[in-house]
Amino acid sequence: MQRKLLAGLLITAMAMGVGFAQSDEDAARRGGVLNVAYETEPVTLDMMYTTTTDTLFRMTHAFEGLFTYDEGYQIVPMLVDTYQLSDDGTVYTFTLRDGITFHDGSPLTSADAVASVLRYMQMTSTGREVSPHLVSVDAVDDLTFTITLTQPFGGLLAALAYRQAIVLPAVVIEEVGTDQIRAAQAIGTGPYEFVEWLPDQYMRFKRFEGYVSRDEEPSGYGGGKKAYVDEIVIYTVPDPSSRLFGLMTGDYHFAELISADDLSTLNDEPELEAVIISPDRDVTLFPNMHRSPTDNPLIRRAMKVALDFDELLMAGWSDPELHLANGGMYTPNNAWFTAIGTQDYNVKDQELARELLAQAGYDGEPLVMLIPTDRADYYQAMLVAIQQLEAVGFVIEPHFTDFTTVQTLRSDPTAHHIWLSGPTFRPEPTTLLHLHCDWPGTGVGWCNPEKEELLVALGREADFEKRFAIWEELNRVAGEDTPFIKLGDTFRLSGKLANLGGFTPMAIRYFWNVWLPN
Amino acid sequence: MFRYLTNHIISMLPTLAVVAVVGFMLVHLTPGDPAVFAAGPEASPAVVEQIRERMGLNRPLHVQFLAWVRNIIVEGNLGVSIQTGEPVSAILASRAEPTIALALTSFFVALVIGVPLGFLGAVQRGRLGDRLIMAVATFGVSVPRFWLGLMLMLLFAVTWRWLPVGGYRPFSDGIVDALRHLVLPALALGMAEAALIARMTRTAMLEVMNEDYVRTARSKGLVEQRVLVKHALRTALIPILTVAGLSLANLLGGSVAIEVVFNYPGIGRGLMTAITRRDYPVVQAVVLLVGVIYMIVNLLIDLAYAGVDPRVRYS
Repeated sequence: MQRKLLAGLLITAMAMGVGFAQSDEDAARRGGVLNVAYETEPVTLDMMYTTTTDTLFRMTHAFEGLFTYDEGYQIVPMLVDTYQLSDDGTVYTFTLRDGITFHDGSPLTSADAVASVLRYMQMTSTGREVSPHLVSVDAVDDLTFTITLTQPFGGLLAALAYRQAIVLPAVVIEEVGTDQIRAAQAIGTGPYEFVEWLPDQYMRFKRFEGYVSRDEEPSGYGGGKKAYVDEIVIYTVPDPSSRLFGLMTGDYHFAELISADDLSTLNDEPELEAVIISPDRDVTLFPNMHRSPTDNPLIRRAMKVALDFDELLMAGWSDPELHLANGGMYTPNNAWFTAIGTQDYNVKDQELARELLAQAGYDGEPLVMLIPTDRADYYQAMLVAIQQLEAVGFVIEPHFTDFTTVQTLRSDPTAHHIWLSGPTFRPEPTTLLHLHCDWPGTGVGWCNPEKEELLVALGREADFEKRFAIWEELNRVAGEDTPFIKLGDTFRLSGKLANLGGFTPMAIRYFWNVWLPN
Repeated sequence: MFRYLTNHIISMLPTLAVVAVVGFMLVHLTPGDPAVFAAGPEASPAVVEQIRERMGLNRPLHVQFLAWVRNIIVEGNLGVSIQTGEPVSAILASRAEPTIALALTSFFVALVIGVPLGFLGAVQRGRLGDRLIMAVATFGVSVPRFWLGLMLMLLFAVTWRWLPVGGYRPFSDGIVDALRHLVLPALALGMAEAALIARMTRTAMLEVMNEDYVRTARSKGLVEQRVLVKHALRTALIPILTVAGLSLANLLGGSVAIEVVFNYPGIGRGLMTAITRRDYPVVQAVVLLVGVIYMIVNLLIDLAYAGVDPRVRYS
């Protein structure tokens, strides 16, 4: 009994005594089960296996990466303690933080980091962008490892901070290879450990008592992490009204993706609070660059100048709090924002559109437009867009279908002329998918020699000022070529109980450092 | 009887084969790629290809079909989910308790409301009571189930806070809690089925109430209640049984709308999730299972006819 008590005290002391400043206040905040409603069911527990946010939203509590992003979306170390870059810019040496353990109790070593980095570079799209520059990843000692590159590559840390770049135990990677990890293998270093997943019901996490927090103050995904609540249960609740009702009754403390029409309900009820996530998605029309007539830049420009983006945004995201007419690739408060290349955005010039169409010799060939109907906001915006395009002489053949079908058909260059999607926010511009020639499939994406050169240069350069100059140039090229037509910045509406403490609205929501009312 | 049963079961096999082929073709011909779904919208084509290869989707369609059929017949194995790697039989088994619990509770609601209302309607034929009942029944048949579900939720869970907004609790965790989670979805589902059963009961009752033997019973001086229940209702039971049986099969096949609204992990929701993911083996298995449920329920209805109607004999 005494031994048990001692062990218990020791664990408590470990949990309380390390990490950034602990106080009586922290003790008072501890406890309770946090219930969260999320709209979709994940397909896997493995963040490297999928890019979908439903996996990420849950598993980010259990897994951590070598680097991550702070509140201002700047790269900060997470599992890494210190790192150095060799003078020639090709060898990065990383030292891991000492004393970190995985949820199964095994210590984090450089062997785990090496295996994880290699798996990441093999399995994920972002990782595969690094692999052509990679010479080797080697463990030096228990906590030190190096990444050697063929030439300087500025995008390496961004790639390691990307959400799919998690660290798993080397033994797990040995077991699964590039297959997806299963429940027994969901072992990370995060402040919460995975407990169970009942499909179409919920996924449950409990506090990892052995978690060693960073000493810095929390900032975004980085800095200190405190697991205040004992358990986090994330329910899959597909119906938006059910999510709102569950929030109103207090069954959920946090509900993701509430319909824009219900913003007033969240604002009117004193015990509820609206959470507006910005940036969320860049809802964008992507013309097929390899099929007539959308391969003609005049046609693409005609589309852009014909559209009234204020009207489109109002149709889909009815409240002005939930959207911003912005044609830039980043939101105005982001360091990467530039207005260069947005000269055609929201000009609403129907006359110019007709002229461009005439110049292009458009003969009224119907343009097949792939539109996902799973999201009401996208669908409503597109109904208005079709009307606006037809008003200047375009003939649009809408193909309404589900996301999965759009995602499949979009990579077939013969299946469409234009498709709609909402890529998620990415802090590092070189990782923006629509800037890559082979996305979403070879023979569909934006391939432009001038752009390719700029993209390579942007990846190589490390200095922000110089990178920004290249970025502006790239935006200029995009402005002339019109490879995509962004509708604007759209924000995600979620809701929480007003007395839920410590919540920070980041692009991906998380619930460490969050506490329940007493 | 035994011979009848054997013949009936053998005659089910061709139907089942048709269900299997159609189910397989339908899911595979639906556009949308499971590998694309798994990799997510931001994956590169190379990563998608890697996953597609692993899922075994690069084999010709007929090879995949034959492998699936062979697995079922030879090994009695429904395969594994191409998305999660879980055995399909385990996925179906995990949905069994919630689905059966909801189906039986809804069926109970449907019978308890439907039969008496239809009976009353017939007795009160043409009067205000009858019209009211039929108006409610028409409303019940026409109203979308998800809307009814949301209204019940708004009233009982949000406004009055008597019941939870949704979710599921297994009976092993406590009967009261399990029932509290069942009440609203069962009401929403059961009321729609009750409307159907009420209309059928009324029509069937009206048909037999003018029959000679009912008049004879009355002229013998039997109490009206006895005439209606013992003589009229019993004969009217055959069409009611047919409708009720189909209702039960329908409920056992799961209800996508209600399960989605109430966040209920039944077979309907499982099917929906599988379709969204293009999880072919799971969709095929559910289609096959629903086919089997309909066949078994139909067989049970046939057998029940013999129970209520002495003229029906299976030999």
